[in-house]
Amino acid sequence: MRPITLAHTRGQAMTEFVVSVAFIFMVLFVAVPMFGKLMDIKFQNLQASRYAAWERTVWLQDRHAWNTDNLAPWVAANSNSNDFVISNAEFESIAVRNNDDLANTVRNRFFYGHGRSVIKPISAADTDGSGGPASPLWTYVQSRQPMLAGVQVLDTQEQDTNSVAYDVIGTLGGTVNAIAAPVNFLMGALGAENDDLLNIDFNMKGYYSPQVRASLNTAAAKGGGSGQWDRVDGQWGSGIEDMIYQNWDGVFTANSAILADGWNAQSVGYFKDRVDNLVLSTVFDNAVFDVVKTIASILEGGPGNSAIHKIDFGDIQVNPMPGENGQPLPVTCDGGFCYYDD
Amino acid sequence: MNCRQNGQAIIFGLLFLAVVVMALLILYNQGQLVNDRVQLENAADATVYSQAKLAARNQNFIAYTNRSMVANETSIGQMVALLTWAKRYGQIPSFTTYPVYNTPIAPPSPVTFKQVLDVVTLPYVLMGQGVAAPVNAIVQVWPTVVSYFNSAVGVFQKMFAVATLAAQVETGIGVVEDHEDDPDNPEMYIPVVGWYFFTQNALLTYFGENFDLGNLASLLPAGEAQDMTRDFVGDQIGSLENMINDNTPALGNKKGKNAGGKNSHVNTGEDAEAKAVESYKRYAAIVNRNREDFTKDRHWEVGASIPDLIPEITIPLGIIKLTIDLDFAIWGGVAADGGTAYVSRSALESDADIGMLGWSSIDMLSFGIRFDIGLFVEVELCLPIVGCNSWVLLDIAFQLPIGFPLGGATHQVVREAADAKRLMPQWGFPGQNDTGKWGGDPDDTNNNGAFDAFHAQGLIWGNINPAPGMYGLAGSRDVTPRYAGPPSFFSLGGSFQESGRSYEFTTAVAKSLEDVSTSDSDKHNINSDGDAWDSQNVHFTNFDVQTRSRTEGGDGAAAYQQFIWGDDRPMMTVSSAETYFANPMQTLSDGSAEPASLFSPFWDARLREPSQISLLIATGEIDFEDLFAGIGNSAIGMVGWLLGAIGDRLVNTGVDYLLANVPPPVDSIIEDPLRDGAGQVTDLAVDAVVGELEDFMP
Repeated sequence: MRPITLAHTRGQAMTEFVVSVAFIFMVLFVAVPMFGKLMDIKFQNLQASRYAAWERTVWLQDRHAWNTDNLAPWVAANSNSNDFVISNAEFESIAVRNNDDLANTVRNRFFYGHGRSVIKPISAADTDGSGGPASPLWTYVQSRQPMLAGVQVLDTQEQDTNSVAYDVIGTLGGTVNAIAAPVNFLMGALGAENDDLLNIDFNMKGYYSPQVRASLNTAAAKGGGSGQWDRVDGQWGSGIEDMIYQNWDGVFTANSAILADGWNAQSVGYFKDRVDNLVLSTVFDNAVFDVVKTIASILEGGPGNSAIHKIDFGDIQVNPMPGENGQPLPVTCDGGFCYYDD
Repeated sequence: MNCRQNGQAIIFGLLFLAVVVMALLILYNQGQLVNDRVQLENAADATVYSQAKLAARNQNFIAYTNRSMVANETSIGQMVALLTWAKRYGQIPSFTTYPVYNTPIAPPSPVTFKQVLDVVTLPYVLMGQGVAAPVNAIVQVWPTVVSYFNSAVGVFQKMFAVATLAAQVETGIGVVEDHEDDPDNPEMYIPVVGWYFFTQNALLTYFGENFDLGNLASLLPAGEAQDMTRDFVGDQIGSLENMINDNTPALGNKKGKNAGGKNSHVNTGEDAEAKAVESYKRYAAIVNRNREDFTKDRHWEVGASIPDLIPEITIPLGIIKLTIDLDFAIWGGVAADGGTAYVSRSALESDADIGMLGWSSIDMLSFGIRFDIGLFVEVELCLPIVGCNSWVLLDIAFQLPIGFPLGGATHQVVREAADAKRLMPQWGFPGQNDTGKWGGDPDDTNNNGAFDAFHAQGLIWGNINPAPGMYGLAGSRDVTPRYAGPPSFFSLGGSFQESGRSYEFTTAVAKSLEDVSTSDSDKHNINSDGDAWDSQNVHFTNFDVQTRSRTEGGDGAAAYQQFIWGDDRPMMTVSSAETYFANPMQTLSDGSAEPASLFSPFWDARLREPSQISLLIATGEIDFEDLFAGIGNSAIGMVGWLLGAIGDRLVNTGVDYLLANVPPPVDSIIEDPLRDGAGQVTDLAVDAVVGELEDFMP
């Protein structure tokens, strides 16, 4: 056996250094950034799914959200959309955003047009199509190609409120609807205005459980997306970064859910329309009684002077409860008569 | 020496590589933990928000239906008003018998005032009698129908309240499940402490008055107790109250005081009666405020007037100027007044008085003249340099009405005939311008309601003449005992009307750290065909990030924490929300915001910071058994008991009240369907919820 000489060991340390550094650098400059980028996209996807659900607490899907399902035809014909006002009166103007626009805001506010030198402000234009390229941070380390292939916002349709108890309430409401049907029909013939009398037409839906799926561009990774990290034949492929796709389809999925509709009044008309469903005297609010009271008012000096002409069957008052400086007004009772002294 | 240097660099290289790989794993594990932690918080936020949203739905539903009940109630008043309006005309012949009218108009002609009045008023009499007959038939039925219907709506409110609690359980489960990455392999759950928070909110909302904060204060750090309690229950330091009061007449008498034990949380105490009386006073005031114009005030007049013809006199007296203005106007004609009010014969001071609430209505018709007299005297003093100043010495104005009776009528709709008024003094006195009760307009000096002095003779004649027999003297003709009493309904506690905020909703959501996909838990199933990399052989426990809190350890505190969180290594979070009142589209006349109530549907939900006390409960610093003793120590036990107890306390009590007020044979007809409907909510739905919870809990 020949002795090891200096000449034989020359450069060995360098070789070892290069080999070890190669491994270290692979981890440091490929794996760590890749993990960082992947986690960043994953976090963003998670936040986007939360956003997609919570947006429905602000934006109604549409004005016809629940008007036809599970309701009798004569009720469905009386669209609840009339209760939702879109006008210049901002305080009473309902916010509507359809599913496509919602999906666009998800893309534009979480995935596209960010990571540049200029901060992208939130704007109404976010409901439009894609707002520019994805963040430059989301590029493959080796291939320098964009990682993000696309974002889908799925399962955005409004769903039933998940409750057996609500089902029972719905069944009871349906029974009442059936009882009220002939009454509504007869009163409709007399010109009655409340054709949804005794209908429990509250929104039994209002539940959303959207899913956001951010898909990575697997083919754009160095190696074309076919790399394998545990190949036994030593053929690891032409890239390192695409090995992550060996057992993963490159799709981040995040689910979210929320109950968004609390049945608060969306307009004064909405308020009245929900109240009058259970006001029986609306059956008297018809053309026949209008004629009778007009004739009777002649004996009291005419409609403008008389008392009888003021009668308003089915009157429903939806004025604010009395108060002063935002605090409730105390009730005054005198000899069994209670009133608000306002 | 050279041999020893062989492979030296690669050793350092491998060591460095190991450090870098470890850093990579830490990075990965941290990322996974943060991701799962965010997911957990998202689920908790959405869960508690959804539960609060369901509570907001319930409060809005109560508001819509309360308004419906008020509108239905006023429709009874409307019918009674229409009846007295018509009866007043129909009873004119009884008023033209007034003795004065038997005198001749122009002697020696024998034609008397009565004869002329009978002819002139004939159209009114015919109209009045024509309208009164069918309206009277309606009044015999309508109050019964409407008050039963209102009571049924009240029961429906209670059923919906129980349905809401059941839905809060189901939605809580559903929201957590819908946040799962893999719905078929759920990992997140609501632990026992989460269901405790749910139970706590429901108990405080409906039975808060049964709890004493004294015990809570003793559990808190001295000096911080008040602030922490305020953060927990709002401005109710001292004594708690229900956020939502279940108002049912005579409920306070029927329910005993707290008997102790678990059910002490749902019994009513003596305060319930006082609160019920206050609530019904408020209900009566709201009903009276919501009367439509015809019901509230039926004033009209037809006549002619001679305006004030006396000019104002100004007398200059040097530096003094005297101004005298004598007003004298005359009006002559026919005037009618009337009003209908939701009143009680009693002063509304006890539970029993609530049942005396009913509708009373009066209408008067007179003709005559009215003098408007006024005297105004002003003196003005003008001095050089100083200028002029004036003083009003006299400013009086009054009316002198002289009216003669033409017609009058009263009608009352009450629960029992004994609740009716019988004599005029129980209604009022002539000249008592009590505007608002029996008609009248404070902004119109000529409109002072049915007890205007203009009708004085008619009012008295109506009491002493047996023919019209007003005020209830005539018995069943003027009193209809077909009212079933005021409805059972929910109202908002006093302090909540001021704050507009609910009790805190809190939920807890957890998942086992074993289920977090870190290198420790090996959820990635790193698998190389059974070799040394197999998941069974690899445990990187050193990279576990310590998020475990007090569950670690073997002491009692750790055991308690493990119990309430359902795992010995939980990743856990709590989240809180509340319902709040804000009417964005209407303001008060002074421009301020509408105060909170359960009569306006402007309740919504929002997230809030968990209170310190909730955090102390969640971390096990406060044992929830110290706050709510005996409510159970399992999620299923607590929720099952709560839904059952509230169902019994609210729904069944409401059904009993309704049936007690429905006369035979109607009660036997409606009892079965009513109890079946209630049973579906209180039994079937609750059983289904408990079953769902059993499947959900780990």
